Amino acid sequence: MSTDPWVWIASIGTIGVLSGILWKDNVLFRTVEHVFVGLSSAYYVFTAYRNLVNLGWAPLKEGKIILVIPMLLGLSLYTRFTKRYAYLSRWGMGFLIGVGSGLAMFASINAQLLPQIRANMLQLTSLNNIILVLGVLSIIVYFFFSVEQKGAVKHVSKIGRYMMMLTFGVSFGNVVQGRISLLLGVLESLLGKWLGLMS
Amino acid sequence: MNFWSKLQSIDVRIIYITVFVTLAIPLLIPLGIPLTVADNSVNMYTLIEDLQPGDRVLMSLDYTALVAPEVHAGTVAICRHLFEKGVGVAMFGYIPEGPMFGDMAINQLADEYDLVYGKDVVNLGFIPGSESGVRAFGDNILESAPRCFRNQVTKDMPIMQGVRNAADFKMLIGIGDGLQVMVQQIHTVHGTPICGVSTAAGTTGLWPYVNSGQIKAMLSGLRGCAEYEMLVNKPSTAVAKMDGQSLGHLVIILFIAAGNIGHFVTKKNKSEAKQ
Repeated sequence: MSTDPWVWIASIGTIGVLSGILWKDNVLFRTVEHVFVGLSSAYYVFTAYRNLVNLGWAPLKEGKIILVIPMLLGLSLYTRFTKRYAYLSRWGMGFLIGVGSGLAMFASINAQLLPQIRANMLQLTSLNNIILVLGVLSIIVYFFFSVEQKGAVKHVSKIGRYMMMLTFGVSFGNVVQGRISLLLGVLESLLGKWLGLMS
Repeated sequence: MNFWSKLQSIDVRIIYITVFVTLAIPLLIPLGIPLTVADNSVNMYTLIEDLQPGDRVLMSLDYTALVAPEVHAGTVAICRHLFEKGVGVAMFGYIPEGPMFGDMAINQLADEYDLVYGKDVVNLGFIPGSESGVRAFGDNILESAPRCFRNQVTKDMPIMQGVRNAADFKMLIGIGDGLQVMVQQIHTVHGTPICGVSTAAGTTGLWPYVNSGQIKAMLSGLRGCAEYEMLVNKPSTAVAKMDGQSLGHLVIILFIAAGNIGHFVTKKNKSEAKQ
């Protein structure tokens, strides 16, 4: 059994959370829940403070005056707490939305649309390539709403639906795999690190 | 409620306990179910094997405690491989908890590989601003991370000499949920090759990027980490969990099958009763 107090704290925390799920709401579960929320908040507040100092205040003191602009825009977000100056928050928000949209547009076209179109321009010389191209085309047809889904379009669209069902199945299988891994992590921590039962 | 109806509504606690016990047994008594290594893991290994001593790589750690049991073993196994080859590693993360796991890996491996912090490895810490932050980081790394996770000035560190942007690194290894953002804002802008470890749940969504070559190689979840541990010849926590993983899947399949059998038998009985 471990003699490390941190391992004990982590294990009691794990048992506390599991007790709330497997048994019922209890004092240990609520205590652990509150401690977790408190610790997480403290970590985020500290991280945010340190970033503000390192990325804002320190360079500003070194003469990087340009940083006054993003800092003022950031501060403007807090004006929402006053009725009189709430309109100022739109400037900061507008800047954030503008930068976000610009980056998203760039990423959508250059990292998703064009490379994916290029990757699917394949020679139909193998079964993999045929399935891939057929899958892409049939799913695009499934989401093509400008013509009525009947006749040949309906059949191709149906293939697209089956392709998507297969993808959802793969995703679900992966999710199950992931969740089992997480539970194994918890068990390894309890049985191995804490109780020392694993060889 | 008859037996078949009960199969469709098994108490969730029974499922929990069954899965719990099934996973615990192989952890206590390893079964030694054979583990094969997939091509994806070999590709990842080859990419890192091709790096030269003195090269530098970026390692983006974008995972929280929630998924750490799934991917952290991959961080450690890949770091082992990199340190063995004498490749410098600059860690960062755009999820606040990520760099914390980077520091855990550094502390775990520091003595084993005689690591000098700032020369062999540095943890640049949390990069705020989500996708915009990653883009700014890629464009000017020292300006986005003037101080590291341990609050030391980064520009004076030997590992950071000559670094301007992400293109000055041979590769970016993304661990966790950040691979897509790395492709969008680092690979597309600077051309830095990307590889990494994805959570199992995120794998399906990232596969098109592997297919298009935007992600050079990818390990998927705990299974991928276990395969990598085998490739670097250091079987550790991920390999130890593989027996449990296999049995866990078997139990889930049995529960899904039981629920479906219950559903179809009940349906058949109902239609027969109507007739």
